[in-house]
Amino acid sequence: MLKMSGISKHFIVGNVKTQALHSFELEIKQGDFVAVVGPSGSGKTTFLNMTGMLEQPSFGQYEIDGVQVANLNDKESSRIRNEKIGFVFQSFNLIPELNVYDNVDVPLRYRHFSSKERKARIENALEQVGLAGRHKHFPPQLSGGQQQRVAIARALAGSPSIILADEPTGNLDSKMADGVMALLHDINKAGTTIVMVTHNDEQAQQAGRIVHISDGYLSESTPLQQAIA
Amino acid sequence: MFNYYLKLALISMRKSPILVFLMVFALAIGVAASMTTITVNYLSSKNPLPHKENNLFAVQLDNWSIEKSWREPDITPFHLTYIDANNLLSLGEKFKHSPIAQMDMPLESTSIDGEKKTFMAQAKSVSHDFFALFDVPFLYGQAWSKEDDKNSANLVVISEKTNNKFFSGANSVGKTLIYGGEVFTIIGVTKKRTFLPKLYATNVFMFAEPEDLYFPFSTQISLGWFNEGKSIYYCQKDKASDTYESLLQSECMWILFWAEFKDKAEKEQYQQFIDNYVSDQKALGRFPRPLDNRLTSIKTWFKYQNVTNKDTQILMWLAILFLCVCLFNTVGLMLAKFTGKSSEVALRRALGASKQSIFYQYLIESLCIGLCGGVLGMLLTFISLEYFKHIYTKLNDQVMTLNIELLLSGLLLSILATLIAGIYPTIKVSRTSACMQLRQK
Repeated sequence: MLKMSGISKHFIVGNVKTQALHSFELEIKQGDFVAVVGPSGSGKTTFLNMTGMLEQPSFGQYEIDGVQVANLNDKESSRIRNEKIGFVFQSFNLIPELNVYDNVDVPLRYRHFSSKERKARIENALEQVGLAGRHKHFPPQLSGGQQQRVAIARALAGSPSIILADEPTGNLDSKMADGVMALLHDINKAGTTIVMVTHNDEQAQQAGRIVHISDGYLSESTPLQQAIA
Repeated sequence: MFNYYLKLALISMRKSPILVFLMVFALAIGVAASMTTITVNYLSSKNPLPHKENNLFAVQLDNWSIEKSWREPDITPFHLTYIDANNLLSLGEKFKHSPIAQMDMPLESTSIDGEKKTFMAQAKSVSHDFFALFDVPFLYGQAWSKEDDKNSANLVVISEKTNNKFFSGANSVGKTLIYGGEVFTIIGVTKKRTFLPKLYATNVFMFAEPEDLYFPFSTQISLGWFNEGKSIYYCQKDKASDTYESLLQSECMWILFWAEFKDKAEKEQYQQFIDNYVSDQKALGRFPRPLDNRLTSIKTWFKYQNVTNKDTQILMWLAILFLCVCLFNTVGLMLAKFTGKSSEVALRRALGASKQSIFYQYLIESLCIGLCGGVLGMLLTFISLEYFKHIYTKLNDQVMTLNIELLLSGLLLSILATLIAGIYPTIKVSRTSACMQLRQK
């Protein structure tokens, strides 16, 4: 479902060229749970930005569900991002002035669903993350774990084929982090592909695949449990 | 999506009320300053009879000295002498035209009962055609007839205000009033209307209060009345003596003269008529200057009278310049507000909003601010016009009154101004990079 061939990314600031990611090949299949690990500044975020079509690669081919997305215009790439990709951020990134219902509604608005359809999807997504009764709450009225669940509901509501999670438990205590990880695994089991950037080895080991990024080079390893099995 | 963007705009405006207030206030002040001057400028230069633009003309005969023109650059006198006004009336009976002269005399009730209501009434002495020429509406009665003009009848058409004053608004046709010590019978009562600028006047008098009454020009002459102290008159030669007869026979010009034509052919016929008349007068030793008789259109008349005078225009442009300064301030404030929204914009971009969607969202927010600025601006315009009414007491109140047309123009100006102010911040915010959101830890 997701195929990257010969992808590389560099940034040019003034006369200085910085190679963020060296040429790599990567294929992620429907239902994969991929953990992306690596030290700070290694290129993880650039990798996630390109995967989420928020940045164009400098070179290479990028396909999502058979569609070449490397050089689409803004309107088209926004549409594909909206339909196929869900985002979960470390700092939740909920809009504080909107209540839970309206926050989950944001990506659906750009999909031009009817209000009935949106309502059904929002309610279903909130039920999936265990926040069915919190429609009217505003983000500051929720705990960190609950806020991240709302963010996950927002990512889920549009039924994307892939969820990109950037350190989703980075701002949570271990109990809340476990809850969020369990939720992500449930979503993955239901068939949604998950690509998760993490610094947490334990969480990375729970993934089906681990992608290491170091100094802009990508390599892949098998999680320990799978290797033993 | 419009409703959604509107909802977001209102939420966003509620979030930063001080910033929004500053923007709305800056716009409102700019709009109010502009609209106040535009209102005065527009209403003071608007033709009150637009349907007569091609039919109604001021008659100007160049009866000035040979040495120089009456007014530079090349403007012929606005007024006619009594000789010419009288001759045009008697020789051109088939035409619809009227002399107009100013009179100010005390007006009082003929009734000996009740309180004395004498006041100095402003009047115009005119011919019966005057009322048709200037579409004067009647509440009661009608204008006097051609015969009444010929007979110098003591008839009067009074204004609604005068009628209210003396007769408490009742139909006063057939009743009498004393004007300048003479008893006049009321033949008609005019209905109150907005008629500004008054075409049948010159300069600042075009904005004077409506007349209290009208009476036949011929009656003024037969009564030997002349408003020497208050009338505008120009004499190229001194009068032979101070007698009234001497004034009438002099080359002093004090009577305005207007004519209305059905069509172009009739206008040409009238032009020929006055040219022939002046040529005949030249043979009698009058009109020393080259033949230059004019039928002046309303538009040119306004220009001659400085209706849109330069001071008012300069003031209007200064106010528009001030609006521009306010707009620059609004641009700055809007930039600050929208820049503060960049993380939300980046999030929306990541969640699937195109640059176009973001552009529309913030454009609608700009329009909401513009609409608020417009409403407050029009309120301030209304207040400032009320204030100016007390300063410029010489001008008619109606010049400083907002009508629907101006009200809507003000709102439109505000929205347009905000669009201009909002376009740069909106474009800038819509170009926010979505990936910065992921970089924020």
